[in-house]
Amino acid sequence: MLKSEAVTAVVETSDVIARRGGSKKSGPSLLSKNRGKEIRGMGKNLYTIEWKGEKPTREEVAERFGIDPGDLDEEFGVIEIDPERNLYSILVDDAIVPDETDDQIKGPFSNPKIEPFGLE
Amino acid sequence: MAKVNVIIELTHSKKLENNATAGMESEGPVNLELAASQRLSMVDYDETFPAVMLPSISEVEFPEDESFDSNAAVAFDALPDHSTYIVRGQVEEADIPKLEKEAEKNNAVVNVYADVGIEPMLICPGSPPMGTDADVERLLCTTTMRSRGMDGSGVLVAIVDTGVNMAFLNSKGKTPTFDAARSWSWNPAVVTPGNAPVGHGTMCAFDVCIAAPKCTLLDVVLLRPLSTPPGGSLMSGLLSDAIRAYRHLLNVMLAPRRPGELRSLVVNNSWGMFHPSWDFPVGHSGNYSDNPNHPFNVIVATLERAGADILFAAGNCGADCPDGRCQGVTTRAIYGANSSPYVTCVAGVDISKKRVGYSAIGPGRLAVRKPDISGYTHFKGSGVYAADGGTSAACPVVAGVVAAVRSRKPHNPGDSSTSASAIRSLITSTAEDLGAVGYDFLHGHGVINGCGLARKFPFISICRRFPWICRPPIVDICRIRPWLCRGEVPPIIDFCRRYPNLCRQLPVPPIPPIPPIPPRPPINELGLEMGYEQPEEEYFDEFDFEGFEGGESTDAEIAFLLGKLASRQESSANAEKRSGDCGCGNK
Repeated sequence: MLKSEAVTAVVETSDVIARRGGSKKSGPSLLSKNRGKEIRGMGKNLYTIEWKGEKPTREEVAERFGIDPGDLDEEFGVIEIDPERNLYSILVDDAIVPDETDDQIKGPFSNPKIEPFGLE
Repeated sequence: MAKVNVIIELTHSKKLENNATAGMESEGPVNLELAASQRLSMVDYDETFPAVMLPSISEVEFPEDESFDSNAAVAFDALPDHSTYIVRGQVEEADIPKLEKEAEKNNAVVNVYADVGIEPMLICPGSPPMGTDADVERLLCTTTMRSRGMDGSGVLVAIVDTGVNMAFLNSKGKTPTFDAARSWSWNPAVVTPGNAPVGHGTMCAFDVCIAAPKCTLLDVVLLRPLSTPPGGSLMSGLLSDAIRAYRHLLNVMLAPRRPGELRSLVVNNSWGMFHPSWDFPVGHSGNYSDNPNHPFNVIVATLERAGADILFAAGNCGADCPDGRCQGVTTRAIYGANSSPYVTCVAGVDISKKRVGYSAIGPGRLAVRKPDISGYTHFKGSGVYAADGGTSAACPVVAGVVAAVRSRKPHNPGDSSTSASAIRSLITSTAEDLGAVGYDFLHGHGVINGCGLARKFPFISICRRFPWICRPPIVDICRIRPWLCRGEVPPIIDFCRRYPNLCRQLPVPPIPPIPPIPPRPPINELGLEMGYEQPEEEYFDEFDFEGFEGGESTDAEIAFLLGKLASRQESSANAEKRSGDCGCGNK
């Protein structure tokens, strides 16, 4: 995807999608809305991305996959999970779903609650 | 045809009376002695079970106007000839009707009863503790392990949990090293590693120290209160927090090493998911519990490939008495990474080696053969709770044993026999089998066997490893230098007698560095060292050899003396060289 397309997509995230009432977009934009909420209302979902070369920044990932950097969890950032396969993980607001047609991004994955196995 | 166990009650006979008396009084085994007339033809008697006397019971009549205690309404008569006797055996299930008829006809038989199987009560949530951490130490043979250098020394153990309170741990007599620099917190401003409130994580750290008291703890604070106390104290977190924590551990494992440095990391995880409703549905591409491609399952596999030994508790959704959070779901209740093929999944047994009723049962979701092994739990230990319970406690008990093993078999990236999977195979292959023969879904391969593992790592003996060092070298000085002997017996130098410290079993105390050679003084225009003065007595006279000759010197002292000798000889050689250079000598 070209940089200009990504910028267009980001603009549409904040404006167009809101006006469309969250309907899934067609065409070149990489964003759609609500799929995460259809699955669960956990707030944020995990994705894996394949990224060759140096570890990407949050902004680079956002640009590459057409996401507003603000939709990526800042505390989580971009975490390398498998150096051999150049796999990274990101945490994205569940209202935002990156393009499913891009085979370098996979998700959303669940982000379930975890608890200690002590006895109640 | 199935056989059933039966108890047969018989009337008194002198033979039975003697047999019962012998059975009570003898310290050795006593066999059953039964007259032919007392035997029932269809019963296969247990000949190793002597007769047992049952005192006769008679009812006592009380006057109507007296109140009485119902417990006193019967009277026992222990006279042998008033008693009956029980023996036991087996009978074909189909023959029971015939047996009843035969028993009716035989006057020696009072009655035949079912001999049902009995089992101890299961430990459940809320049960009082069984035994103490001292019992766990005994069961794990920790004394033997420590004597063989298996104590967690040099091994990093990460407690991925609610945080560890080191002061509390020390107050309980556990004094592992704490590595603050390599610890991690979800928010260091809120929880400082090593200084967390006393809770679940501290219990886990205590239980690791049962087998690995000299390990180095990393406090990885992952779980946090759902709501700020006093509103709530139940700890919780999200799997994305765990991904961050694991990335930190991956950095620890992959950090540059000094040449020859070995790094072992054991990761304890006494947490997980309790119910499928917490996750995306099974079959959804983003599901966690059954999906090896979930980012957390991926990073767990990556950390294992980097050499870390990762242990996960199986969970508390066992069918007999599950935790309430399981909401009744007890089948296939080992979810996600807890059932990963790259981790050791730990079930729980009490100190009588009976599975605790809440311990989750396999198969696992990511790998079928889960749990892998059982650990001891529900004992009085850390004092954080009434019992160190749940599979939460079983997991760090096993993690401590793994750390103890790593003291003797540290991870070496170039040696596949030290990989995490090799260590997993080692602890499962040495486990003490419980339940059904071989692997089963309740106990895995059995309970962790510290005694068996200790046998795999015998004492390190310098003399066994390097026998030529300890072989008494027979130096035939008389043959080489005959003028020294002239009729005397050639001396035998016994290396081990002279330097016993070098032949003692490891671990050898560390040798402090040899003191540095002082800087050479500046040389004047004549080529002589400024301020150089020839010592009055050269060579060894100034050294105190007392104790050295008697073999009482420590290795450190020997090293120090050798260092001083080397530096003296070097100075002497330099002086000779200088005197030769200038042609003036040292007169």
